[in-house]
Amino acid sequence: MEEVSKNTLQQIKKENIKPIPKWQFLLKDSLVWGLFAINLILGSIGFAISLYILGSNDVLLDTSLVKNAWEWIILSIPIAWILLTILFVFIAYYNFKHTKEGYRFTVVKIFLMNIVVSIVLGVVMNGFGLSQKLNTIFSDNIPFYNHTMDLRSEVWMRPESGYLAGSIVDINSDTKILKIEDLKGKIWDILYQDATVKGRVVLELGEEIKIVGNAVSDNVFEASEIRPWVGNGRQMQENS
Amino acid sequence: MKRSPTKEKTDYEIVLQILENVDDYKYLIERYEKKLFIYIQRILYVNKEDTEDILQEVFIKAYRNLNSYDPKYNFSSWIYRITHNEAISFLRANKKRQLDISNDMENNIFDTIASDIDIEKEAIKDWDSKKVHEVLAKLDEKYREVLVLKYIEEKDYNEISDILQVPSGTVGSLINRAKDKFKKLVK
Repeated sequence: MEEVSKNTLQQIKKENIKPIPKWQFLLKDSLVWGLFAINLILGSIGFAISLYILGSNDVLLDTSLVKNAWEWIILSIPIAWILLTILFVFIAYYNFKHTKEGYRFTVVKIFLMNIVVSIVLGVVMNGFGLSQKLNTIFSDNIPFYNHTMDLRSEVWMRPESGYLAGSIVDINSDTKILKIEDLKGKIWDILYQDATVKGRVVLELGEEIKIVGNAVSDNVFEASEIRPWVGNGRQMQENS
Repeated sequence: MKRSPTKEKTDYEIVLQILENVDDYKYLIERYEKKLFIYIQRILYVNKEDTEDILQEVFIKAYRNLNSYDPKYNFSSWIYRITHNEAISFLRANKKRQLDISNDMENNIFDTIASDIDIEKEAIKDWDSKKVHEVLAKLDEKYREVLVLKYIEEKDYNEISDILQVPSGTVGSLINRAKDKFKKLVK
Protein backbone atom coordinates (compact mmCIF):
# COMPACT_ATOMS: atom_id res chain seq x y z
CA MET A 1 0.00 0.00 0.00
CA GLU A 2 2.92 2.33 0.68
CA GLU A 3 3.69 2.03 -3.00
CA VAL A 4 0.55 3.99 -3.90
CA SER A 5 1.63 7.00 -1.89
CA LYS A 6 5.18 6.80 -3.19
CA ASN A 7 4.18 6.21 -6.82
CA THR A 8 1.59 8.97 -6.76
CA LEU A 9 4.06 11.54 -5.49
CA GLN A 10 6.68 10.33 -7.94
CA GLN A 11 4.25 10.68 -10.85
CA ILE A 12 3.19 14.16 -9.73
CA LYS A 13 6.80 15.30 -9.59
CA LYS A 14 7.95 13.50 -12.74
CA GLU A 15 5.10 14.84 -14.87
CA ASN A 16 5.18 18.18 -13.08
CA ILE A 17 1.47 17.95 -12.35
CA LYS A 18 0.02 21.07 -10.74
CA PRO A 19 -3.37 21.67 -9.15
CA ILE A 20 -5.71 23.47 -11.55
CA PRO A 21 -5.93 27.11 -10.36
CA LYS A 22 -8.94 28.06 -8.27
CA TRP A 23 -9.99 30.80 -10.70
CA GLN A 24 -10.63 28.19 -13.40
CA PHE A 25 -13.15 26.42 -11.19
CA LEU A 26 -14.73 29.74 -10.22
CA LEU A 27 -14.93 30.73 -13.90
CA LYS A 28 -16.53 27.41 -14.82
CA ASP A 29 -19.07 27.71 -11.99
CA SER A 30 -19.86 31.29 -12.97
CA LEU A 31 -20.31 30.29 -16.60
CA VAL A 32 -22.70 27.48 -15.72
CA TRP A 33 -24.72 29.76 -13.41
CA GLY A 34 -24.63 32.54 -16.02
CA LEU A 35 -25.92 30.22 -18.74
CA PHE A 36 -28.60 29.00 -16.38
CA ALA A 37 -29.71 32.58 -15.65
CA ILE A 38 -29.64 33.53 -19.35
CA ASN A 39 -31.77 30.56 -20.33
CA LEU A 40 -34.16 31.20 -17.48
CA ILE A 41 -34.58 34.79 -18.69
CA LEU A 42 -34.94 33.66 -22.31
CA GLY A 43 -37.58 31.17 -21.18
CA SER A 44 -39.39 33.97 -19.36
CA ILE A 45 -39.21 36.20 -22.44
CA GLY A 46 -40.55 33.32 -24.53
CA PHE A 47 -43.43 32.86 -22.13
CA ALA A 48 -44.10 36.63 -21.97
CA ILE A 49 -44.23 36.96 -25.77
CA SER A 50 -46.41 33.84 -26.03
CA LEU A 51 -48.81 35.48 -23.57
CA TYR A 52 -48.73 38.76 -25.48
CA ILE A 53 -49.37 37.18 -28.89
CA LEU A 54 -52.07 34.94 -27.46
CA GLY A 55 -53.74 37.87 -25.74
CA SER A 56 -53.71 40.11 -28.78
CA ASN A 57 -54.74 37.52 -31.31
CA ASP A 58 -58.26 37.89 -32.61
CA VAL A 59 -58.29 34.40 -34.12
CA LEU A 60 -58.40 32.79 -30.69
CA LEU A 61 -61.91 34.09 -30.02
CA ASP A 62 -63.11 35.00 -33.51
CA THR A 63 -63.24 31.77 -35.44
CA SER A 64 -64.81 33.54 -38.42
CA LEU A 65 -61.32 34.77 -39.26
CA VAL A 66 -60.18 31.26 -40.16
CA LYS A 67 -61.40 28.49 -42.42
CA ASN A 68 -60.91 25.43 -40.26
CA ALA A 69 -59.68 24.10 -36.91
CA TRP A 70 -56.17 23.46 -38.22
CA GLU A 71 -55.84 27.06 -39.41
CA TRP A 72 -57.23 28.19 -36.05
CA ILE A 73 -54.53 26.27 -34.18
CA ILE A 74 -51.72 27.46 -36.46
CA LEU A 75 -52.80 31.11 -36.45
CA SER A 76 -54.02 31.54 -32.90
CA ILE A 77 -51.43 29.68 -30.80
CA PRO A 78 -47.87 31.05 -30.86
CA ILE A 79 -46.50 27.54 -31.34
CA ALA A 80 -42.96 28.65 -32.28
CA TRP A 81 -42.62 30.79 -29.15
CA ILE A 82 -44.07 28.07 -26.94
CA LEU A 83 -41.57 25.56 -28.39
CA LEU A 84 -38.73 28.05 -27.86
CA THR A 85 -39.85 28.57 -24.26
CA ILE A 86 -39.82 24.82 -23.66
CA LEU A 87 -36.36 24.59 -25.24
CA PHE A 88 -34.99 27.33 -22.96
CA VAL A 89 -36.53 25.65 -19.91
CA PHE A 90 -34.78 22.39 -20.92
CA ILE A 91 -31.42 24.13 -21.42
CA ALA A 92 -31.83 25.93 -18.08
CA TYR A 93 -32.53 22.53 -16.47
CA TYR A 94 -29.37 21.11 -18.06
CA ASN A 95 -27.31 24.09 -16.84
CA PHE A 96 -28.71 23.86 -13.32
CA LYS A 97 -28.02 20.12 -13.17
CA HIS A 98 -24.37 20.92 -13.94
CA THR A 99 -23.96 23.46 -11.17
CA LYS A 100 -21.97 22.33 -8.14
CA GLU A 101 -25.03 21.34 -6.15
CA GLY A 102 -27.43 20.64 -9.01
CA TYR A 103 -27.33 16.90 -8.36
CA ARG A 104 -29.06 17.42 -5.01
CA PHE A 105 -32.32 18.33 -6.70
CA THR A 106 -34.63 15.92 -8.47
CA VAL A 107 -35.51 16.41 -12.13
CA VAL A 108 -39.10 17.25 -11.15
CA LYS A 109 -38.00 19.89 -8.62
CA ILE A 110 -35.65 21.58 -11.09
CA PHE A 111 -38.26 21.62 -13.85
CA LEU A 112 -40.98 22.90 -11.53
CA MET A 113 -38.66 25.63 -10.26
CA ASN A 114 -37.70 26.64 -13.82
CA ILE A 115 -41.29 26.62 -15.02
CA VAL A 116 -42.60 28.61 -12.05
CA VAL A 117 -39.82 31.22 -12.38
CA SER A 118 -40.38 31.49 -16.17
CA ILE A 119 -44.13 31.92 -15.68
CA VAL A 120 -43.79 34.51 -12.90
CA LEU A 121 -41.10 36.52 -14.73
CA GLY A 122 -43.03 36.14 -17.99
CA VAL A 123 -46.24 37.47 -16.46
CA VAL A 124 -44.34 40.40 -14.90
CA MET A 125 -42.59 41.21 -18.22
CA ASN A 126 -45.88 41.05 -20.06
CA GLY A 127 -47.53 43.21 -17.41
CA PHE A 128 -44.90 45.90 -17.89
CA GLY A 129 -45.29 45.80 -21.67
CA LEU A 130 -41.80 44.41 -22.21
CA SER A 131 -43.10 41.50 -24.29
CA GLN A 132 -44.78 43.92 -26.70
CA LYS A 133 -41.60 45.99 -27.03
CA LEU A 134 -39.43 42.94 -27.58
CA ASN A 135 -41.88 41.56 -30.12
CA THR A 136 -41.65 44.83 -32.03
CA ILE A 137 -37.84 44.71 -31.96
CA PHE A 138 -37.84 41.11 -33.22
CA SER A 139 -40.45 41.91 -35.83
CA ASP A 140 -38.41 44.84 -37.11
CA ASN A 141 -35.05 43.14 -37.11
CA ILE A 142 -35.47 39.42 -37.67
CA PRO A 143 -36.18 38.33 -41.23
CA PHE A 144 -39.32 36.18 -41.64
CA TYR A 145 -40.26 36.80 -37.99
CA ASN A 146 -43.82 37.66 -38.92
CA HIS A 147 -44.14 34.49 -40.98
CA THR A 148 -42.83 32.17 -38.32
CA MET A 149 -43.02 33.53 -34.78
CA ASP A 150 -45.83 36.08 -34.80
CA LEU A 151 -48.48 35.00 -37.28
CA ARG A 152 -50.90 37.82 -36.55
CA SER A 153 -49.83 39.55 -39.74
CA GLU A 154 -50.65 36.35 -41.66
CA VAL A 155 -54.23 36.75 -40.47
CA TRP A 156 -54.49 40.45 -41.20
CA MET A 157 -52.61 40.64 -44.47
CA ARG A 158 -55.25 38.92 -46.55
CA PRO A 159 -57.04 41.78 -48.37
CA GLU A 160 -58.54 39.35 -50.85
CA SER A 161 -60.33 37.67 -47.91
CA GLY A 162 -61.36 40.98 -46.37
CA TYR A 163 -58.63 41.52 -43.75
CA LEU A 164 -56.05 44.29 -43.78
CA ALA A 165 -53.76 45.94 -41.22
CA GLY A 166 -51.40 48.89 -41.16
CA SER A 167 -50.81 52.35 -39.81
CA ILE A 168 -52.62 55.51 -40.81
CA VAL A 169 -50.51 57.84 -42.97
CA ASP A 170 -53.21 60.27 -44.12
CA ILE A 171 -56.80 61.17 -43.15
CA ASN A 172 -59.40 62.98 -45.15
CA SER A 173 -62.45 63.34 -42.93
CA ASP A 174 -64.42 65.15 -45.66
CA THR A 175 -64.25 62.31 -48.13
CA LYS A 176 -64.02 59.69 -45.34
CA ILE A 177 -60.93 58.18 -46.87
CA LEU A 178 -57.89 57.05 -44.90
CA LYS A 179 -54.54 56.18 -46.33
CA ILE A 180 -52.74 53.36 -44.59
CA GLU A 181 -49.37 51.75 -45.04
CA ASP A 182 -49.96 48.01 -44.66
CA LEU A 183 -47.61 45.62 -42.85
CA LYS A 184 -45.70 45.07 -46.08
CA GLY A 185 -45.31 48.77 -46.80
CA LYS A 186 -47.99 49.10 -49.49
CA ILE A 187 -50.24 52.20 -49.45
CA TRP A 188 -54.02 51.65 -49.48
CA ASP A 189 -57.01 53.99 -49.69
CA ILE A 190 -59.53 52.95 -47.05
CA LEU A 191 -63.16 53.98 -47.52
CA TYR A 192 -64.58 54.17 -44.02
CA GLN A 193 -67.86 55.98 -44.55
CA ASP A 194 -69.95 53.05 -43.27
CA ALA A 195 -67.37 51.48 -41.00
CA THR A 196 -67.82 50.78 -37.30
CA VAL A 197 -64.81 52.02 -35.36
CA LYS A 198 -64.24 49.63 -32.46
CA GLY A 199 -62.33 49.70 -29.22
CA ARG A 200 -60.16 52.67 -28.47
CA VAL A 201 -59.23 53.37 -32.04
CA VAL A 202 -58.53 57.04 -32.62
CA LEU A 203 -58.35 57.92 -36.27
CA GLU A 204 -55.14 59.90 -36.29
CA LEU A 205 -51.82 59.73 -38.05
CA GLY A 206 -49.66 56.87 -36.91
CA GLU A 207 -52.55 54.91 -35.38
CA GLU A 208 -52.18 51.23 -36.12
CA ILE A 209 -55.32 49.43 -37.04
CA LYS A 210 -56.89 46.25 -38.32
CA ILE A 211 -59.64 46.52 -40.89
CA VAL A 212 -62.41 44.13 -41.85
CA GLY A 213 -64.09 44.78 -45.20
CA ASN A 214 -63.46 44.01 -48.80
CA ALA A 215 -60.88 44.97 -51.39
CA VAL A 216 -62.51 47.11 -54.08
CA SER A 217 -59.41 47.23 -56.22
CA ASP A 218 -55.70 46.67 -56.03
CA ASN A 219 -55.17 49.58 -53.63
CA VAL A 220 -58.65 50.50 -52.47
CA PHE A 221 -60.30 48.76 -49.50
CA GLU A 222 -63.81 49.36 -48.23
CA ALA A 223 -63.93 49.05 -44.44
CA SER A 224 -66.90 47.71 -42.52
CA GLU A 225 -65.06 47.55 -39.19
CA ILE A 226 -61.90 49.17 -37.82
CA ARG A 227 -60.22 47.65 -34.77
CA PRO A 228 -57.10 48.54 -32.79
CA TRP A 229 -54.09 46.36 -33.66
CA VAL A 230 -53.74 45.17 -30.10
CA GLY A 231 -56.77 44.16 -28.10
CA ASN A 232 -58.05 46.34 -25.27
CA GLY A 233 -57.53 49.44 -27.37
CA ARG A 234 -53.77 49.48 -26.99
CA GLN A 235 -51.73 50.71 -29.86
CA MET A 236 -49.89 48.43 -32.20
CA GLN A 237 -46.14 48.73 -31.88
CA GLU A 238 -45.25 46.84 -35.01
CA ASN A 239 -44.02 48.99 -37.81
CA SER A 240 -43.19 46.21 -40.20
CA MET B 1 6.17 6.95 19.71
CA LYS B 2 6.80 9.88 17.45
CA ARG B 3 3.51 11.33 16.30
CA SER B 4 3.07 13.15 13.07
CA PRO B 5 1.60 16.60 13.71
CA THR B 6 -0.70 16.10 10.71
CA LYS B 7 -2.62 13.41 12.60
CA GLU B 8 -4.56 16.06 14.47
CA LYS B 9 -5.15 18.25 11.48
CA THR B 10 -8.39 18.28 9.57
CA ASP B 11 -8.47 17.16 5.97
CA TYR B 12 -8.91 20.74 4.85
CA GLU B 13 -5.90 21.90 6.83
CA ILE B 14 -3.83 19.24 5.12
CA VAL B 15 -5.27 20.29 1.73
CA LEU B 16 -4.02 23.82 2.39
CA GLN B 17 -0.61 22.41 3.34
CA ILE B 18 -0.47 20.35 0.14
CA LEU B 19 -1.09 23.44 -1.95
CA GLU B 20 2.07 24.85 -0.38
CA ASN B 21 4.10 21.67 -0.42
CA VAL B 22 3.24 18.65 -2.54
CA ASP B 23 5.17 16.28 -0.25
CA ASP B 24 2.48 16.76 2.39
CA TYR B 25 0.12 14.94 0.05
CA LYS B 26 1.44 11.69 1.53
CA TYR B 27 -0.41 12.45 4.77
CA LEU B 28 -3.73 12.69 3.01
CA ILE B 29 -2.99 9.63 0.87
CA GLU B 30 -2.10 7.65 3.97
CA ARG B 31 -5.34 8.74 5.59
CA TYR B 32 -7.50 7.48 2.74
CA GLU B 33 -5.60 4.88 0.73
CA LYS B 34 -6.67 1.86 2.74
CA LYS B 35 -10.34 2.88 2.90
CA LEU B 36 -10.44 3.64 -0.82
CA PHE B 37 -8.50 0.51 -1.71
CA ILE B 38 -11.11 -1.63 0.05
CA TYR B 39 -13.96 0.44 -1.40
CA ILE B 40 -12.67 -0.06 -4.96
CA GLN B 41 -12.31 -3.79 -4.40
CA ARG B 42 -15.78 -4.04 -2.92
CA ILE B 43 -17.48 -2.32 -5.80
CA LEU B 44 -15.35 -3.45 -8.74
CA TYR B 45 -14.09 -6.90 -7.75
CA VAL B 46 -10.71 -6.25 -9.29
CA ASN B 47 -7.30 -7.67 -8.41
CA LYS B 48 -4.72 -5.89 -6.29
CA GLU B 49 -2.76 -4.50 -9.22
CA ASP B 50 -5.81 -2.98 -10.92
CA THR B 51 -7.00 -1.58 -7.60
CA GLU B 52 -3.66 0.14 -7.03
CA ASP B 53 -3.68 1.56 -10.56
CA ILE B 54 -7.18 2.95 -10.07
CA LEU B 55 -6.26 4.29 -6.65
CA GLN B 56 -3.18 6.04 -7.99
CA GLU B 57 -5.30 7.63 -10.72
CA VAL B 58 -7.80 8.74 -8.04
CA PHE B 59 -5.07 10.50 -6.07
CA ILE B 60 -3.63 12.14 -9.19
CA LYS B 61 -7.10 13.44 -10.17
CA ALA B 62 -7.74 14.59 -6.61
CA TYR B 63 -4.43 16.48 -6.63
CA ARG B 64 -5.20 18.17 -9.95
CA ASN B 65 -8.63 19.21 -8.67
CA LEU B 66 -7.60 20.10 -5.14
CA ASN B 67 -8.64 23.72 -5.62
CA SER B 68 -12.18 22.65 -6.44
CA TYR B 69 -12.63 21.11 -3.00
CA ASP B 70 -15.15 23.13 -1.03
CA PRO B 71 -14.53 22.95 2.74
CA LYS B 72 -18.29 23.34 3.30
CA TYR B 73 -18.51 19.67 2.47
CA ASN B 74 -16.93 16.53 3.77
CA PHE B 75 -13.52 15.84 2.22
CA SER B 76 -14.23 12.14 2.57
CA SER B 77 -17.33 12.45 0.33
CA TRP B 78 -15.31 14.48 -2.15
CA ILE B 79 -12.57 11.88 -2.52
CA TYR B 80 -15.08 9.02 -2.54
CA ARG B 81 -16.86 10.81 -5.37
CA ILE B 82 -13.63 10.96 -7.38
CA THR B 83 -13.12 7.27 -6.65
CA HIS B 84 -16.69 6.52 -7.76
CA ASN B 85 -16.12 8.42 -11.02
CA GLU B 86 -12.85 6.62 -11.60
CA ALA B 87 -14.56 3.29 -10.95
CA ILE B 88 -17.25 4.18 -13.52
CA SER B 89 -14.52 5.05 -16.04
CA PHE B 90 -12.81 1.74 -15.34
CA LEU B 91 -16.09 -0.12 -15.88
CA ARG B 92 -16.71 1.66 -19.18
CA ALA B 93 -13.24 0.83 -20.40
CA ASN B 94 -13.51 -2.80 -19.28
CA LYS B 95 -17.09 -3.75 -20.12
CA LYS B 96 -16.41 -7.40 -20.81
CA ARG B 97 -14.15 -8.08 -17.86
CA GLN B 98 -14.62 -11.02 -15.52
CA LEU B 99 -15.26 -10.20 -11.87
CA ASP B 100 -12.56 -11.42 -9.55
CA ILE B 101 -14.79 -12.97 -6.92
CA SER B 102 -12.03 -15.15 -5.60
CA ASN B 103 -10.48 -12.08 -4.13
CA ASP B 104 -9.98 -12.45 -0.40
CA MET B 105 -11.12 -9.48 1.56
CA GLU B 106 -8.80 -8.30 4.23
CA ASN B 107 -11.52 -8.45 6.82
CA ASN B 108 -14.89 -10.06 7.27
CA ILE B 109 -16.80 -6.92 6.67
CA PHE B 110 -19.31 -8.72 4.48
CA ASP B 111 -20.37 -10.83 7.46
CA THR B 112 -22.90 -8.30 8.60
CA ILE B 113 -24.47 -7.26 5.34
CA ALA B 114 -27.09 -10.03 5.15
CA SER B 115 -28.46 -9.24 8.58
CA ASP B 116 -28.15 -5.51 8.02
CA ILE B 117 -30.39 -5.56 5.01
CA ASP B 118 -32.93 -7.57 6.93
CA ILE B 119 -33.03 -10.79 4.97
CA GLU B 120 -36.07 -12.72 6.05
CA LYS B 121 -34.51 -16.13 5.97
CA GLU B 122 -32.81 -16.64 9.30
CA ALA B 123 -30.20 -18.91 7.79
CA ILE B 124 -28.91 -16.15 5.58
CA LYS B 125 -28.08 -14.04 8.57
CA ASP B 126 -25.35 -16.49 9.37
CA TRP B 127 -23.82 -16.34 5.93
CA ASP B 128 -20.13 -15.78 5.84
CA SER B 129 -18.35 -13.04 3.96
CA LYS B 130 -17.60 -15.25 0.99
CA LYS B 131 -21.27 -16.02 0.27
CA VAL B 132 -22.37 -12.40 0.61
CA HIS B 133 -19.40 -11.42 -1.51
CA GLU B 134 -20.61 -13.80 -4.23
CA VAL B 135 -24.20 -12.57 -4.12
CA LEU B 136 -23.07 -8.95 -4.30
CA ALA B 137 -20.96 -9.82 -7.33
CA LYS B 138 -24.15 -10.79 -9.17
CA LEU B 139 -25.76 -7.39 -8.60
CA ASP B 140 -25.47 -4.51 -11.04
CA GLU B 141 -22.64 -2.18 -10.07
CA LYS B 142 -25.02 0.65 -9.13
CA TYR B 143 -26.91 -1.56 -6.65
CA ARG B 144 -23.75 -3.15 -5.31
CA GLU B 145 -22.14 0.23 -4.77
CA VAL B 146 -25.07 1.72 -2.89
CA LEU B 147 -25.25 -1.33 -0.60
CA VAL B 148 -21.52 -1.14 0.03
CA LEU B 149 -21.72 2.56 0.83
CA LYS B 150 -24.70 2.15 3.12
CA TYR B 151 -23.99 -1.08 4.96
CA ILE B 152 -20.24 -1.50 4.76
CA GLU B 153 -18.83 1.99 4.48
CA GLU B 154 -21.68 3.10 6.79
CA LYS B 155 -22.25 6.37 4.97
CA ASP B 156 -25.43 8.31 5.62
CA TYR B 157 -27.89 9.31 2.88
CA ASN B 158 -26.38 12.77 2.42
CA GLU B 159 -22.87 11.40 2.08
CA ILE B 160 -24.05 8.78 -0.43
CA SER B 161 -25.91 11.53 -2.30
CA ASP B 162 -22.66 13.55 -2.48
CA ILE B 163 -20.62 10.55 -3.58
CA LEU B 164 -23.01 9.25 -6.25
CA GLN B 165 -24.17 12.76 -7.25
CA VAL B 166 -27.86 11.91 -6.98
CA PRO B 167 -30.60 13.45 -4.81
CA SER B 168 -30.99 11.98 -1.29
CA GLY B 169 -34.45 10.69 -2.20
CA THR B 170 -32.97 8.75 -5.07
CA VAL B 171 -30.43 7.23 -2.68
CA GLY B 172 -33.34 5.87 -0.61
CA SER B 173 -35.04 4.28 -3.59
CA LEU B 174 -31.74 2.91 -4.92
CA ILE B 175 -31.08 1.25 -1.57
CA ASN B 176 -34.57 -0.25 -1.48
CA ARG B 177 -34.26 -1.60 -5.01
CA ALA B 178 -30.80 -2.95 -4.23
CA LYS B 179 -32.13 -4.71 -1.13
CA ASP B 180 -34.94 -6.26 -3.17
CA LYS B 181 -32.51 -7.48 -5.81
CA PHE B 182 -30.21 -8.86 -3.11
CA LYS B 183 -33.10 -10.71 -1.46
CA LYS B 184 -34.20 -12.16 -4.80
CA LEU B 185 -30.70 -13.43 -5.49
CA VAL B 186 -30.54 -14.98 -2.04
CA LYS B 187 -33.81 -16.85 -2.63
